[in-house]
Amino acid sequence: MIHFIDVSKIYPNGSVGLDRVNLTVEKGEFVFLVGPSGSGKSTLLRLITREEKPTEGKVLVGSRNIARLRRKEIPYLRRRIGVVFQDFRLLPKLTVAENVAFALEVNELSRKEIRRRVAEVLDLVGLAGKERACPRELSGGEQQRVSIARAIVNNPLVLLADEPTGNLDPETSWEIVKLLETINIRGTTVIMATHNETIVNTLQRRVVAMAEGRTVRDEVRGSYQQ
Amino acid sequence: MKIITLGKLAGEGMANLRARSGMGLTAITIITLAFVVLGLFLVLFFNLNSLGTSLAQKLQLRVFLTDGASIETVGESLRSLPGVEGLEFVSKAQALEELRKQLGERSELLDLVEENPLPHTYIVRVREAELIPGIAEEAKTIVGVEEVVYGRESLGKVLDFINTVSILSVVGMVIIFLATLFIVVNTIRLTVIARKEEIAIRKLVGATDAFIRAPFVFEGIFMGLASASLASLLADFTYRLVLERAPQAIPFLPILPREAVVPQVTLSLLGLGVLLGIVGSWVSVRKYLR
Ligand SMILES: Nc1ncnc2c1ncn2[C@@H]1O[C@H](COP(=O)(O)OP(=O)(O)OP(=O)(O)O)[C@@H](O)[C@H]1O
Ligand SMILES: [Mg+2]
Repeated sequence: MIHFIDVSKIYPNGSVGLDRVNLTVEKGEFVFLVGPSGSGKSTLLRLITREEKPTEGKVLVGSRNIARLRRKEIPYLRRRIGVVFQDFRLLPKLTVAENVAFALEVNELSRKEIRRRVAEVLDLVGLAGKERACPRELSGGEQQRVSIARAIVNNPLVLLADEPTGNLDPETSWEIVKLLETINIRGTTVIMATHNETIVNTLQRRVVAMAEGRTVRDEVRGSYQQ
Repeated sequence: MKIITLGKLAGEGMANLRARSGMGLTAITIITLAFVVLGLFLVLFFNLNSLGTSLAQKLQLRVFLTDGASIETVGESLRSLPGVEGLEFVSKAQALEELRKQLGERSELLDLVEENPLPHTYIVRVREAELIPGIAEEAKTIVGVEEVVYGRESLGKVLDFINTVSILSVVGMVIIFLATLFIVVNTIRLTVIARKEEIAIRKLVGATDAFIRAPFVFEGIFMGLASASLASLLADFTYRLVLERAPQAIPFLPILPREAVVPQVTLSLLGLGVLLGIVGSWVSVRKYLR
């Protein structure tokens, strides 16, 4: 479903983000992206959302080469991709429900439909009853659940998580990863960039390791280190 | 985009404006004052335009015919000249009659003349005052035309004056518009900066450019419309004062009545206000859409 074909990304300042990467992720997979800082994990994810354009090569999402996407088409690509970050990126002035609804409003759904889907997804991530809370009234783990709810409320093909547990304690991290696993089991492809060795080793999922912009290891039931 | 979405985004724009109401009010005040000046330029502009037209109506060409010329042929030739709107024929006899009336008691003088010395005359009405000199030249070449008269000197000067002032008022309006645009851009940019995170998240979840831009465009339009409405009221008020005083001060100048100017000025200002909002917000959001 997602294909990187000889993809290189050189940033305008000359630093190498990706170096001739080839990678295929099929529908329904759960993939850990590991590797030292600066190895290109975030760059890889940003190429899927078309936040960045490849310098060379093709990035296929579905069957479209999104390197060739016209500006007007980018929003429709992004509606099929959910994204989660280390720092949650919630809007502090909006309630939990409003934060999640934010992703539905751009689809111009009816208010009723929005309310229904928000309730459903908050239930899924275990935040039923917190609709009216504000982000700062929530723990880090809860905030990350809100951001996951926002990422999946549009039923995306793929969920991209860039160090989603980076700001959380081990126990909370574990809960978040369990949630991602649940979402994966329901059919959404998940790609998660992480430095969390324990989680990767415990879950025994596909691991793609990167170094200096290249994929250096790809194992179906991998661990953090070789 | 659905109407209901537009409504929602318009509400958001209004809320944005209210959230920074101090800034918004300052901007609206300044833009209003600028628009009042702009409105007065418009008043001037409309008045000059109508002055030009009324001059054209008043300052007619008088075309004197040679004795024995065909009245019909000359009339047709005159009618066919571009810019001619209508003709009025004054026969020798009518001309004499008119002259008699004008002379009043002294009309006995005319009895001294045996033959009617006055020529047949066409009075030519033209569409625009500017066209008069050209038409006069053309008319002179028509067979059977003895002479063409109009207030050549004074007309030329007046038209030059009207033109110069019209151009200056347009230049003034453009400068004021650009200045207000600058204010709108900077005011909305502050909102945009305050909403940077929201814009980033909207982009991430797949909002179109139009969706992201809409609240800021509405904010700009609200600002423009509010300023334009206030300015229209002030301009109306000022114009009424001028109308009350001016006729005594400069009695010979034809000043347009309020009904002929104020609606036009109001509409123009509202239109400019909307344009201002759209262009201003467009410029301020552009950078953040990249
Ligand atoms: N916006 C950018 N402009 C210039 N260079 C960049 C940019 N983003 C990343 N890079 C460079 O690209 C390389 C890969 O960075 P990237 O952020 O993808 O690494 P990463 O694997 O996500 O690292 P981390 O684990 O620290 O998040 C680095 O050398 C980095 O300096
Ligand atoms: Mg990173």
